[in-house]
Amino acid sequence: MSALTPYWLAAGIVFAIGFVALIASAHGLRKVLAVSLMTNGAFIFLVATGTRGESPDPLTHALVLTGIVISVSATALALVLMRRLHEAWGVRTLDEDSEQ
Amino acid sequence: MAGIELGAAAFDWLLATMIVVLAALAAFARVLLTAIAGLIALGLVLAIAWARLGAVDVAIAEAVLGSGVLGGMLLKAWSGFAASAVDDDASMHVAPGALVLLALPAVLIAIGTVYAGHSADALGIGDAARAAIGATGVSHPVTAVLLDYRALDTLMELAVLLVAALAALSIGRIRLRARAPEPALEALLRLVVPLLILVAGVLLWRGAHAPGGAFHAGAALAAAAILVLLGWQQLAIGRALAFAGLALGVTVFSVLGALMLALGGLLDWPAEHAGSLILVVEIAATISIAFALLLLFAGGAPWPRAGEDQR
Repeated sequence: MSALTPYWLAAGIVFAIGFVALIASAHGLRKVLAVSLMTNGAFIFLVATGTRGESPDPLTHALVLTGIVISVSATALALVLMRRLHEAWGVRTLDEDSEQ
Repeated sequence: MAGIELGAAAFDWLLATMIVVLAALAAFARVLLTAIAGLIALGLVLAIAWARLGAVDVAIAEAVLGSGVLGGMLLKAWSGFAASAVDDDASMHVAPGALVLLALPAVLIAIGTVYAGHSADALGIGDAARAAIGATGVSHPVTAVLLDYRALDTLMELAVLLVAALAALSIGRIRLRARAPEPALEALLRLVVPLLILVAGVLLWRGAHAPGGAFHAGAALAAAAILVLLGWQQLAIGRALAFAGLALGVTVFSVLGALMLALGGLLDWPAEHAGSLILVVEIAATISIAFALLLLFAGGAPWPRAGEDQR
């Protein structure tokens, strides 16, 4: 039980919650939230990994920084795509048997 | 773990609990708006966790980008759905029995993460990074990694942001009707927006010797522009300005990096000029990041498309 155990646990659980929500949710916006949770779980793991050792590892910090920017870009593009889908065809879920 | 005071274990456990609870809220809340609010709050609690773990750069970036800009984008998307009188649809489209089946890999992932965290060796390039930092022109290790040791990765990152912005410009359609904000909102904006621009400048300048840098500054600038967009419902950016602003970062970065071929290697800043070169690249990158995030938030091109009249 190291001092970083709460963060290892949080990383794994948040990732798992996002994974379950991604598969189980129907609404597109909820899937976007779920993917964001999975990325955050991975980031917690990365930063906690960089905290062991004598002083913080700048490479893991730089990796997570890059990851945050890229995940925001991807999420923003996904939201634009969903908006167009909704405008063009009224689609907001990915169900095959939805009413639209 | 010298240098990071992890004695207050109770605080760490409290943070971890808050993180898990907010994540569950963001994933499974009945009302979609609650889920979005959970994610925004999660970003801020994560920022505290990053700072606690000594990752101050990541903390600032998470607060501005992961919670601020992303939260704004999510709320804007939500209001777009809500405006068309469609309900939240919190339904799960798997049977409750299958949900139990999904929980099994989830538990395994959680266990595996804890095991991996405890068993891996404490390797890392921290010492090597700090030893060679004299030749990088900056004194903050994370900035050195981003813009000197791994400059290629940062160039790719800017390219990803650019591609996302271009895709949003080509796919999205926006309709803006300019209107004056309410007096209270206008007073707040007139106070906050100049402060945000100032904060962006400080973050950019500090990036060389303290946590900060191009991405934080660019996101703060984008936040200021988003506030103006939300207040006055106007986006006075023409096609030429938008494309110039978007392309500036990647162009300056790659041109300067290619010029370094003559002096040593691709993207290999010479030690005596590295500081100034990195500053020029960061200024260009800040402008591009601000444009890209603003246009991604707006969700489309603010100028009329060919063959369409602007309604």
